[in-house]
Amino acid sequence: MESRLLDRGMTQPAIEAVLWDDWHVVGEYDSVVRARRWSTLLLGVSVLLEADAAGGIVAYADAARIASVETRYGFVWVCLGTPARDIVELAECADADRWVASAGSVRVAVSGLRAVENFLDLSHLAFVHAGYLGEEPHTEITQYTVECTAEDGVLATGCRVYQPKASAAVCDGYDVDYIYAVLRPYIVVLYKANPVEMHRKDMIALFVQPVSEESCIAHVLSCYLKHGVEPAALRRFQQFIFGQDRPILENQLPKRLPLAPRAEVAVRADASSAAYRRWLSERGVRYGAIPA
Amino acid sequence: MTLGVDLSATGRWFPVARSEEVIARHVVQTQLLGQELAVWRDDIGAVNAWENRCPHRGVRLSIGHNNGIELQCQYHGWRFASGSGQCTYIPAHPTQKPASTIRAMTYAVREHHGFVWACVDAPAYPLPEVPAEMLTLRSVVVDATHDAIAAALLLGYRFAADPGLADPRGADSSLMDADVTAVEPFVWRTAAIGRRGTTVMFFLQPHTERQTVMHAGVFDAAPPDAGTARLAVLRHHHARMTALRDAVEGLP
Repeated sequence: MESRLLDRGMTQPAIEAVLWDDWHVVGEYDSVVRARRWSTLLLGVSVLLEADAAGGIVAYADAARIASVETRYGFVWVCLGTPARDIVELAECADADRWVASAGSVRVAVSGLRAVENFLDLSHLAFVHAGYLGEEPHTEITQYTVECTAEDGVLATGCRVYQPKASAAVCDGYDVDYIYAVLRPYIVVLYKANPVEMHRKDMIALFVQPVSEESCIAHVLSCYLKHGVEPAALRRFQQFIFGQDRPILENQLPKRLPLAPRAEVAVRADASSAAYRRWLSERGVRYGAIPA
Repeated sequence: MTLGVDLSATGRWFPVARSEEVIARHVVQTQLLGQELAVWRDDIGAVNAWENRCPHRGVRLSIGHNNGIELQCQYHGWRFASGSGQCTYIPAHPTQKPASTIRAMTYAVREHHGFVWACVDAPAYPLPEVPAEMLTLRSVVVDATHDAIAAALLLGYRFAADPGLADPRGADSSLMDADVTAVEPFVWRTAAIGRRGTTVMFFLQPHTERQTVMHAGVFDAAPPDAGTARLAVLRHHHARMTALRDAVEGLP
């Protein structure tokens, strides 16, 4: 692996350690096992997964064996470098009264960082997901709190939006409380109050696979309390919602995320996006970005 | 003779759309020198040529909504006023007036001779002069550089002064070769042919590095009426310009 890193450095700028030495999802486990051979791209490197009859997975990067391959939360994860830390910890996934299931993987022709930012974005809900996750005239975004957490992420709390149909489980509109947490440059989760058990939260995680600097595959994990919903319905709903985001994302110019504070105009409602861009800059993330 | 696009493009007016395609409540997407433009008309009839991205999160304004007085972005519903590009409304903060610094990037724009003209920088030249009433022809997109088209035009343009509907490809004997000369950079004109001294002008829109839009208009002392004669002229030149395009694209 060491020598491959050096080779890469000669032909293109080396990919920053914060991404190279981290874990990324490269496929949904069930799909990989069913296909037996699964080829994809991660950070511009061609990755091949081979599943044996017992469901074990071996991974190769440009034909060289990848030592760091794991299956977690129903997805296959690899680290192309030397893992500097573990795969993100999502405690809710251990709860027995939740469905923990992939809600699908969507290829998007835009930087994965733009996809993460869109996931964090509150003010598009009333327009892009009108009638489901928001609705005019309920467009106002009230003040929410953004902070950088001890676990080295961006946390947005106190987010509140009126939603006509907040999930596959509900029919009536209500004000939904959200919490967003960026856990890694390409990983973000959201927590929203469960419509039945209001004191507990459903979770959706977005594991974005950076395919190239200007394209990604967004893998969605849903972790919902089981009340009255089926995994298939959750999956259908999430894919429908993501289908509304995709044409917007693919019409963003430039395709990479600009990190300079004044490259794009921001208002108060964009506090989480501004914090995310700042956080990426501070961590030296360049892949998929236009550095400040 | 070659005309270096980069040397002479700044401050010049280029046609970016035919007036008739910029219809009410619609947004036309085009490119000028590799810059994407969103071209739209408000309900009063004024035309706008804007950079095709919302200043907020970069989404193409050409997928937005033309409400007749503003262009609204699809992503967050921000609205930008016809003329100035000034942001008039940010739905996330409905009671606040958007800062005056928030505006869509506008290009200088004019509507004349049946075309919408835009300028990528401060205009330094007048609009190209057109000698008389011009019948705008159908524009043709060519997968070639401006210089390649210029080279082909220097070989002449072959057309008929009185085309008939029956044979739009113009294989009949009325076809005549006309010399073509540059009037100014990006603007070309044929010699006069036929009894009435019919001429054609070409206006080249450098679209991207590899693609050029060939706009054109025809001058005739007795312009065709709105009926079949006009249709015959449009079809004839569309066929002739398509032949020119094929020749240019076929060059090694």
